[in-house]
Amino acid sequence: MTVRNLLLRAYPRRWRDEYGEELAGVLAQRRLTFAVVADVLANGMRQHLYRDDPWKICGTGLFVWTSTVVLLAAARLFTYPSFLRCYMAGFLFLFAAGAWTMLRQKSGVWRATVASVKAALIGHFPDVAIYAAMFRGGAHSWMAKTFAITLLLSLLFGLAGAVLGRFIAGIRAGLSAA
Amino acid sequence: MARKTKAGPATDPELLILSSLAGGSKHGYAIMQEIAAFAGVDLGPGTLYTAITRLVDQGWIEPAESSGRQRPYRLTPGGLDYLRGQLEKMRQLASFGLRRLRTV
Repeated sequence: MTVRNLLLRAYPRRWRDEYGEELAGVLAQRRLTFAVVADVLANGMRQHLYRDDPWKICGTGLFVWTSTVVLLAAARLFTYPSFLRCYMAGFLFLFAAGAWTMLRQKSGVWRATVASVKAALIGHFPDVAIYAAMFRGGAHSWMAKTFAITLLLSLLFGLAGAVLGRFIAGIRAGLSAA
Repeated sequence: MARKTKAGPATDPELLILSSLAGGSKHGYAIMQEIAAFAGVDLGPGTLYTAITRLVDQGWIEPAESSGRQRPYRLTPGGLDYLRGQLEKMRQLASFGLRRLRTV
């Protein structure tokens, strides 16, 4: 696979199906300088932001956040209270998933809440996997409780985000009507 | 609504592309070359196709028939109206600014 083909991978599949061949054609006629590579990568990210479902973007963000927090805690670079604060801050991604889904897709509050739970399932995969590895021999009830609390909190943060999203959408509709 | 650009409206990729297509349908690389020639702006390939995507989504340009790998684009009537409106606003702003400058 050439560097040019790799660069195209920065774009969402749906976008590539529509414009990928043309962009490949233009790239074939340009020298690959640092500026060109940075431009293509940055715009690939923008296309993900425009086109992907908000829950996928927030879920991926939460996945990176959770992985980092868990790794830092495992390396004993965090005290337990700092770990807990950072872990809880991750729920803001789910709040954002609810609000963003509501604003972008103009869906109902419940659908936006479900979207944030889907984001939680992606984003909390690192800590769930680590707990599962740590407590292989037992403590299943503790694990189940932790998982249930995480899902419940995801639901609550997602719901709060969706309600905020609906509020903002209402203000925007009022402003555009005025 | 047009996106604000740091370097001013004369370097806005969407306006530059629409201005280029006002002279007839062109494919991506030809648009890039013409913009470099008439505006001195070197649009990156990613920026070019992000702008083309937005213009197609807004219905201001559309792909023209082509058998080759590079698809040409052309202005739609809505795109023409938008371009005319934007250029008229820029002309009014420029003439106002220049009039004011004469009094300095």
